[in-house]
Amino acid sequence: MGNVNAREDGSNSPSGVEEGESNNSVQEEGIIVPDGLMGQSPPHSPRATHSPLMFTPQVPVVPLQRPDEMQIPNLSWMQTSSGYEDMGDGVGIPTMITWSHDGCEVAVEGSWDNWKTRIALQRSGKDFTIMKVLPSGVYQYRFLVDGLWKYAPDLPSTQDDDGNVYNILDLQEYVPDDLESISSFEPPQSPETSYNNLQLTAEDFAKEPPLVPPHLQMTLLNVPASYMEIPPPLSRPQHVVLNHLYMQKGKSGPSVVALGSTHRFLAKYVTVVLYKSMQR
Amino acid sequence: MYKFYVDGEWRHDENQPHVSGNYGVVNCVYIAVPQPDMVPNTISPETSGNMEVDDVVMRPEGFAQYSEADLQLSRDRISSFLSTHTVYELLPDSGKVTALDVNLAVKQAFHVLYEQGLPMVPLWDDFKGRFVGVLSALDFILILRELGTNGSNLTEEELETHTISAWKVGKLQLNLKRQMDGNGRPCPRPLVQAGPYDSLKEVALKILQNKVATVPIIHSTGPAGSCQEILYLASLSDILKCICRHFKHSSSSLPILQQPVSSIQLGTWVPRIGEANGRPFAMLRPTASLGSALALLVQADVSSIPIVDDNDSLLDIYSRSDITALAKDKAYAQIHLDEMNIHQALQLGQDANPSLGFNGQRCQMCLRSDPLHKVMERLANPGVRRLVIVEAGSKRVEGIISLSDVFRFLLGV
Repeated sequence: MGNVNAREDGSNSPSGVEEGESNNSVQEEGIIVPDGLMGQSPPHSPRATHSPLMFTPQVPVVPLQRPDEMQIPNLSWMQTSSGYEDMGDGVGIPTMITWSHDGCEVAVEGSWDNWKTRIALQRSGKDFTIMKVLPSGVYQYRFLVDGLWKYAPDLPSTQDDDGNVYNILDLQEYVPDDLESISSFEPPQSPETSYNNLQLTAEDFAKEPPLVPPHLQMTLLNVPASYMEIPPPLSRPQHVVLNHLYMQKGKSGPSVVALGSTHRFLAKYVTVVLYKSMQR
Repeated sequence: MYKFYVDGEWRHDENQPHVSGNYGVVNCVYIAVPQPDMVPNTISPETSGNMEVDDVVMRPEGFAQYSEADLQLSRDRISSFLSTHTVYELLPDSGKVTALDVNLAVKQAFHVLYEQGLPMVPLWDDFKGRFVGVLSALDFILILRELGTNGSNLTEEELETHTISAWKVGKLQLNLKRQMDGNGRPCPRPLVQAGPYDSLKEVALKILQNKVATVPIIHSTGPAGSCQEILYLASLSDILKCICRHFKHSSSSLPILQQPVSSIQLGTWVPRIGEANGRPFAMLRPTASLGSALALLVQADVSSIPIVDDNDSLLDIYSRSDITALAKDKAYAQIHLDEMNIHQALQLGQDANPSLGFNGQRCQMCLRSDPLHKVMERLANPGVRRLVIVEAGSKRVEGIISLSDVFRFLLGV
């Protein structure tokens, strides 16, 4: 049991912190600053493994009002749906855009609204930041620093045919696992005691089997099959259920057994179910 | 754009504006379109197609012309994008793959596909220790047709013991077009698969060249790649979704995407009266028998058939994957393929899932005036493999655009 807890903590906290530094797009659950132009309600997120309190919760700040922007009625922590998306792009994901290279006045323009509006960033110490809620996608943007167009050299960028350089924001719907924190995790040593390989006797079989750890109930294999053309995405599995083999007998037919297991491949999780015949 | 068909020959009028394009020299009509929002630095001087106004009222065919340069530029950019991104990006954060052992009985396989709502599954061979093929809706169509014919080797009782591997061997005897080797002998087709580090371009070309819909993504490790781990079932719609996601907010970099699909002749179109070389377009009435639908699916080598009424207006669409609905209540055991008509067959599927109505995911449509990017976004939805081009208002079927049509166009193959 001790193993299990350690593993969960070990994977969650470093991944949260390191995400913020490496990606520059921070996803914080439950903290929504609706942008008057974009925001749709973020989904009821199935990301159960991520503690929402990885970061010091920010107090939601009213983005600077511009004359043409509509009034934001409320800034409650509940989902708000401000603005209407003509294309039903998908849910908005909060992300932070930061400029940390000096300046007095910094604004940003981006391809999220076809470069139509310019948003001023707010200063906090030496950095300028703004929070945006955008659907998952790839965006280009650049900064207007004291009247000059600039891009952040430390962030991913691209150049167009005219030689203009823009920063790129690749906004995913989920926070990928931080690989280093997982792969460097050492499984603990087996506890000290005597081990042998004697065959189990009838006496052993007569005893009650040890209880299955309750965590193992949380397998994705029990998620009912969806008949929709677009099945809803599966939630990320708990690390504790990985690499365990599950078996289901007889549900799909008298002599059919289903074997299921969830594995990790780099930063993605795959649940494989194999249907076999029990006849020989 | 237009061309004149004069005395059996396609010609253009030298005195009117003309331009070279894919169809040789064509005449073109320039129509000035109001542009309410001039977005700075995103409109190149050549493309005056409108990006803002998405107006589906009937318009004359003569849209602003697109140039070969636009097409080539768009193709180059997409090709470059696909070559630099790998299959790994397609994998969902948490995905599920169902596989069947090749020794499973066909009947049970059918039921698994139906219960899990899957159009196809990869096949695992324990003895060989690897994935050896896939079981798809087409297999079931062929099996059902085999059951129906007299003098076939397959009876319904045998379905319970007939294994998938035995079926696959028997399938070779059916002499389907695709499975001949050089000497005309039927040979088993090796599994078309890809790895997680393959580029998206490789996978797209593989799918197009092998004419499959889905490719299992298998990670091979161990000596000689002997240990196989299946990761995902990738299809063109996943790749398309990746493309759309990437270029959605920089649409100016792919100018060809603004063109209406009619001007780039994308997809298969119902031949107009008088068109000499039009391929016959497969459509059926709802009263047609299921047997004829299945026969058409096999012979015409298409994956779906629009179901139309007497005016050729679109009612529904019957695809190969709809065949699994026959597993409901073991309908396949009770019906004779010629006694059930398409309407009833579709009803079976509807009962299983009433949410998928005609206006839902089942039958995605588009207009001939819709720009390419709109068509692509629709096709990027998982589960949508084709769009039916209809006439606005009457819903008369004008053509079909499939994923492979779009990719052949974008990749220039």
